[in-house]
Amino acid sequence: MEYQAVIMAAGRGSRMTDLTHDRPKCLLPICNRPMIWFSLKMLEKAGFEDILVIIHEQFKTEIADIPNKYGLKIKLDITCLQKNEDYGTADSLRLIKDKIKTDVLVVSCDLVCDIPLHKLFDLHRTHQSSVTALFSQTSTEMILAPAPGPKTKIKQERDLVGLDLQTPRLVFLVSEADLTSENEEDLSIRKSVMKHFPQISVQGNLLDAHLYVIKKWVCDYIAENRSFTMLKGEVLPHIVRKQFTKSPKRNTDKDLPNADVSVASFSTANRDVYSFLVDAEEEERIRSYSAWNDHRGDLRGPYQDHAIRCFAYVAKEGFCLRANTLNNYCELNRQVIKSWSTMFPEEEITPPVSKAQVGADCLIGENTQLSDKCSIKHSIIGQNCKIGDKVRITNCIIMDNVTIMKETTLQGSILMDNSIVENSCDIKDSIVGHTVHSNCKSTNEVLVDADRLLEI
Amino acid sequence: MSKAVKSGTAKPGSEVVKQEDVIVAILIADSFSIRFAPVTDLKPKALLPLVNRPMIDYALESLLLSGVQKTFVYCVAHADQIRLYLRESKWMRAASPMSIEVISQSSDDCRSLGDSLRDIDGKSLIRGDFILVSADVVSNVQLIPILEEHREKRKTDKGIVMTHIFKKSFLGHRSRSAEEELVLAINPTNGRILNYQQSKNLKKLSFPLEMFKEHGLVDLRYDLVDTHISICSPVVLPLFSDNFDYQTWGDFVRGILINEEILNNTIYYHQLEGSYAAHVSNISMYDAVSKDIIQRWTYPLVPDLNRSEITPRHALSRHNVYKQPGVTLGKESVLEMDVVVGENSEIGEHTFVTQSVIGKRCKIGNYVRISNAYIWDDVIIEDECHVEVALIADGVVLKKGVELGHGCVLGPGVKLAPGTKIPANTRLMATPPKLENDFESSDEEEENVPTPVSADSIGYVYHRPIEEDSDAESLVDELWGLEIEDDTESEEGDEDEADNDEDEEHEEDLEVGDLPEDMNARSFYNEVLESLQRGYEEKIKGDNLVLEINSSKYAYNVTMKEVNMLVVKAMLSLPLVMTKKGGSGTNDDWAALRPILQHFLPVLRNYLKNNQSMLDSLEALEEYGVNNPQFAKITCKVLHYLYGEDVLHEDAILEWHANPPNDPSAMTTIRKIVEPFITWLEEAEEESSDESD
Repeated sequence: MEYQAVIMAAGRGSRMTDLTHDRPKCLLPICNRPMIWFSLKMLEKAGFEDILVIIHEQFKTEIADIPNKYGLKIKLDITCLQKNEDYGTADSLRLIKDKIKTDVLVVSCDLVCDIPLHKLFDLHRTHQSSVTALFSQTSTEMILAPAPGPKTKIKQERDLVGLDLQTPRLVFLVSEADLTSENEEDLSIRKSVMKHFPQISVQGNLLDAHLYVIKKWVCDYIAENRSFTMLKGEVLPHIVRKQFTKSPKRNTDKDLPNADVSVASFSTANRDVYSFLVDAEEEERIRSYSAWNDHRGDLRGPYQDHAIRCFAYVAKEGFCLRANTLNNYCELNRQVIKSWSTMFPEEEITPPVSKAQVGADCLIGENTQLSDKCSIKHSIIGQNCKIGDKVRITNCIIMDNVTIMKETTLQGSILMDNSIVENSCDIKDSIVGHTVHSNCKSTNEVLVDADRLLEI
Repeated sequence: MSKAVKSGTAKPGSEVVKQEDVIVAILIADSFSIRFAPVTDLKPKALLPLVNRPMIDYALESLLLSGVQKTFVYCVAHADQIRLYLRESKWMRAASPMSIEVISQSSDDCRSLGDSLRDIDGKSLIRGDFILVSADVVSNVQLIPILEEHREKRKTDKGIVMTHIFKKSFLGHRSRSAEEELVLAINPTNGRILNYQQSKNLKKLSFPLEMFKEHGLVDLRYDLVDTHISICSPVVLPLFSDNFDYQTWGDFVRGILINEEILNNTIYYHQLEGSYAAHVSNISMYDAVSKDIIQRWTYPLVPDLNRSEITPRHALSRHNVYKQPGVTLGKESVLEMDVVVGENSEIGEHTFVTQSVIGKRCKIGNYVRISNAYIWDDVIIEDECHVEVALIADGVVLKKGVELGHGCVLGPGVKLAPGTKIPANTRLMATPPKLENDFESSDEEEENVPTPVSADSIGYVYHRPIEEDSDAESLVDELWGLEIEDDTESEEGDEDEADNDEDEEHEEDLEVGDLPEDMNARSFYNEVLESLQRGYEEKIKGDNLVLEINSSKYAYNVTMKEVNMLVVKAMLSLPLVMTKKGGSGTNDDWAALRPILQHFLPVLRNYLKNNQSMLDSLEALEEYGVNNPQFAKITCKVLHYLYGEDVLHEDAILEWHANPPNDPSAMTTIRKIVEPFITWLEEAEEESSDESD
């Protein structure tokens, strides 16, 4: 077993609270399958058999059932968090540190991606990378697609990713939001970094898939340093920066942590990142015999003599999107159904047998009754729904057990489980979570349970 | 190309050629620096020999080779010499495929590239795209395709003003000049330059976030070297004329980038692939370029293909040893490798020469060691001299047993007595240093009487005049001749520091800019004081003064609070500054100050708009009073006047008074003095007679 896979599924979906108040993000349906199914499927495809999953306690049975329900040949090793515990990704990794025996692949449960993972592993393996991250080139239209609910200004959460042009080294990683929140107008780069990497390509349009391959020793380092809470926000930038620090001179007594070099901001009890570094003596020796070098122009050895190195795999093609915002969630539903047959050729979708007009890119769940005269376009409808006469549904996501009575028009909306829309409603770009009475008209609204509204 | 060349040649009358079709180049025959002093004191840099050929020949040759039909040579220093040289050269013959026109500066104060381009613009010689090079460029680049590329880009981008040519050169390469180190941000999809920084003295490079937001993909390049060749649209010249602050190419690029949104002008970059271009900017670059020429990177601009008819060709033998006719070599003397020896030079017995250039008619004695040296014409080096890493100008005489340290430069006519030892990195000249220098009247004061470096020698140590703008020009080139090991070591140290601040980075993200802020405020204050004084004397309108002060504010990056305080302080101190005497402590002070304040009311109103700014100004008033006790007496009058003119509001004054002063001593002085005024204010409404005028 060369790699272990971990799925971080304890996210609360804080950027789509309208949908996630009564169920975890990882169970939100995308094309009638729970979100986490996509990551599990991807890992199954990549050849993983055992997968570590971190979830909140109350959803354990539901999630444990998924491999059976959908016929995935994998075993889940579930670690639970208490109901109200909120763990960051680094915290979660620390929680399962005893289960981590090798290098780890960390996947977020909201990722839908058909990029072959072996390429990422190859990169990680060849360069003995400390952390390898997956990025994909996304078009901005995808991110800026309209979403139901109140119109809000879409905040683009972009990262500035600095890549070396010659090697796929990750030179720096900053999120735009961080810089803006600190009121910085400039991005500053130390000249010594430019000396190591004279050609840096700064890419602002890359999507961080939150999928990382992390070396075992980095996991140990994270486990030790309790100040880390998030992988993306803290650990990764930290390790990326640490690439350029000089490793303390190798002591003959390797087991003694080097006391001279302390990591400034952490408590003094913490050991330096270099003391975690496992020596790959054999590799070092091979490298010293080899004339190979990854760069030209100076006298430094391969990898600029850096012991810590981070790499980025930038996927030029393939599908890769995270359902971390409402916009992305809707867009994912639309995109996935479009390319379902290419992404999951073995997972057949049975076309609905009905006299209703069902257009392309639609998905109708089991036991859903469609009346004859309704028309459905670009929409996904869950199980056990009832759709009445002359209902027109365009661009909607309708979850399970939804009842829509006759002569209703739905457009660009999300209908949550068990919601009921009565006769002759006209609902546009809204989120529905309860009963909508007859002749209701709404645009860009959130129509959820009244008692929940009180909570807020 | 041949057709095009034909049309441009000899008989302009016979064929009608539009000027736009002729490929035009402007060659600036001056580098506006004193990098090569003292050897450039008498001879222009363009005519300095580079591997036994005047430098300008290389630039002209490369223009000719790339098909340029007309070149304007713009001369500044020693214009007559350049003119004379070109008149005699092959370039001015009727048969020359490239016509040359020499222009001299029309005014005497041409001190930069910007000045010369403004001058050229004034002469309105250029109408189409042109190639801009400087005389110290050596290149074998085919410029026409790049010119075509430039024109092609104009079809999609109307605002294109310049395509600048860069060469890729990795760190530590000899063709990188430490002085001209630069970082470029470019858009890799279309080659536009988005940001340009000279990185020499910087430890951190910062780039505006806006740039990354606007362009999804930005390449930051540290591995590029400026070749000083650019393809310019005709609009470049008027742009220089419009902006008098554009002095160098760097100013121009920055200016264009800053005004990009207004003027929509863009600059593109072109990266050379496979061809050579370098710019002899300083002596270490002279060394690097000479070696490149000898090692034939610059082919066809190599010594054995020298096209000039005045000097005979060099014969090339193994290990890049070039000899002109008439070279005599004593027995057992060795020209090891990369050596060029000029006409009729004599080299004695048992002499060892490697990686060096020896000019014409030189006499080298026996048992001499020469390595990495550049020896120009008519130099005599007697027996047993050691010359390593040195530049020796025309007519120098080294008597027996002279030893030169690394990196020495000997100006023309220097004579060194037997056995003299010169320390490393010394520059010598034949005449005692004068106060006046060719380029700048130096600020040096006459110290003691200059003495030659040793008895019977003619050679005085040359001191470089201290330059004001040490930003653009610095003394990096003193490092010439340092071993590579040293270089990497220093880099290593640099890295260490970087590591340290990396570690600190977590603790405190303190800006380095904190320290000089004080300086900024001081400079700002002086500037404001100057503006106000002039404004008062010349009765300049308030609006214009505000404009001036605001621009100073941006220049020195001071906060609004500082502006408010310093403007007030400057106004208060104006009577003292103008009369140059201390205040008398009487009502005369007020008499002097009042008209000044009256004049500046619009300025004050502009700055003191809200409560906070008024508090700032009151704080300033108080500080000023504490520091100038004689002023304290009239504080009350000033306050009352400003209140009366509605510059300061009642609320602000009362709030100020309610808060304790920063300086406790103010409690007893200023606060006491203003007490009556405050009580009057507090009682409000009713007029008080005792304090008003």
